[in-house]
Amino acid sequence: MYVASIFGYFEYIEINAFITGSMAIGIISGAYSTEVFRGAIQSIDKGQFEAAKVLGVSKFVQFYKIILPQMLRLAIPNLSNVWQITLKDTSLISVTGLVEIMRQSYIAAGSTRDPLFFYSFAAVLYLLLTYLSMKLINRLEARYSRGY
Amino acid sequence: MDFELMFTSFPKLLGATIVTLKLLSVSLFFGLFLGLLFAILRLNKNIFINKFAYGYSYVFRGTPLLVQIFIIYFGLGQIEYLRSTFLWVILKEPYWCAIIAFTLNTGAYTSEILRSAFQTIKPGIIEAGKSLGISSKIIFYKIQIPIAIRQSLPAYGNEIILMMKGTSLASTVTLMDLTGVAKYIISTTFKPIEVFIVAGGIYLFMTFIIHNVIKYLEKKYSFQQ
Repeated sequence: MYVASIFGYFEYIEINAFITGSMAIGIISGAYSTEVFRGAIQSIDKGQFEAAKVLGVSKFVQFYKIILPQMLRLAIPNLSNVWQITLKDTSLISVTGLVEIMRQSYIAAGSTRDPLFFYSFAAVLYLLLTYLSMKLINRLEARYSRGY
Repeated sequence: MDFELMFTSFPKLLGATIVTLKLLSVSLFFGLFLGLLFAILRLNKNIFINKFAYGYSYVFRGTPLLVQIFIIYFGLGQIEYLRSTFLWVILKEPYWCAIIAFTLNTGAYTSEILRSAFQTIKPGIIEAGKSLGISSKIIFYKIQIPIAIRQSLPAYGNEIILMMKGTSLASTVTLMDLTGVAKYIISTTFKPIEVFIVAGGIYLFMTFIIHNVIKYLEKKYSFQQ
């Protein structure tokens, strides 16, 4: 709104709550993932870089064909942690008014005066989500660590 | 940008920081003991005790902190029986509800951190203790626990920082912590950006301090010395 007022637009600007929410969560999980990828790249053997250089592979191909595939395998366990943190952070979006699990149970708890049931149900839903995603990630991890 | 508001709200927010720090330190203190207890239970060979400790850490790590606070603050008050017991004195206060939720949450994470630290202790160290004729109880308290604490320092530092950010959720149960006071100032001045920048700066500064203290401790207790 401040930026728009410089250009002479003084009306109220409505930003989609879903987009702002996913942007905020995305930026946060991006910051966490940066650290994960940095750690993964640093733990790749230095010989890999040197071998690529010796073979005359260009920097671009070196990163996309040699470093990235190896790095992803190393990053999966920590990325799954980031995924879990992000999944739980989505509950915070409820304070901006977007109707997701938490907001919905807040509304339901308010109108039925039965907060224990609805919040416990929300907890079970989150637990189910983490359980299922962990199953998936474990399979992914097993798949990508074949041959190691 | 309203810089005057930033200056005037700074002392108010600083006062609220004390509430945040209180929440953090009390819940970390109890959470550390809870985490140590459950880490030891996780190493127990009895399958029921083991599964119980695993279930505890799974549930509290698998659900958002916000849900846990809401269940404890809004949910438990619904049970008629609880209202008649002495527990109600504690559970009707948002402060204690927040502390219970934070303690249980950080306890779950701490138990995982300590368990993995216990499991990475080299068996040779325990064997060395045994061959010196030290009783297994003393090996546990004087050898295993100190090594495990040193091993888990980096991960525990992360947990402290996560928990510090988690205390901002106390504002959802009407507690006037840093975020709570920031929200209150915003509701009277309608200037969210200025106030949240100052509040965010205070959180960042606390993270900076915690990070450096942990780094110092890591250096001080490193194995090389």
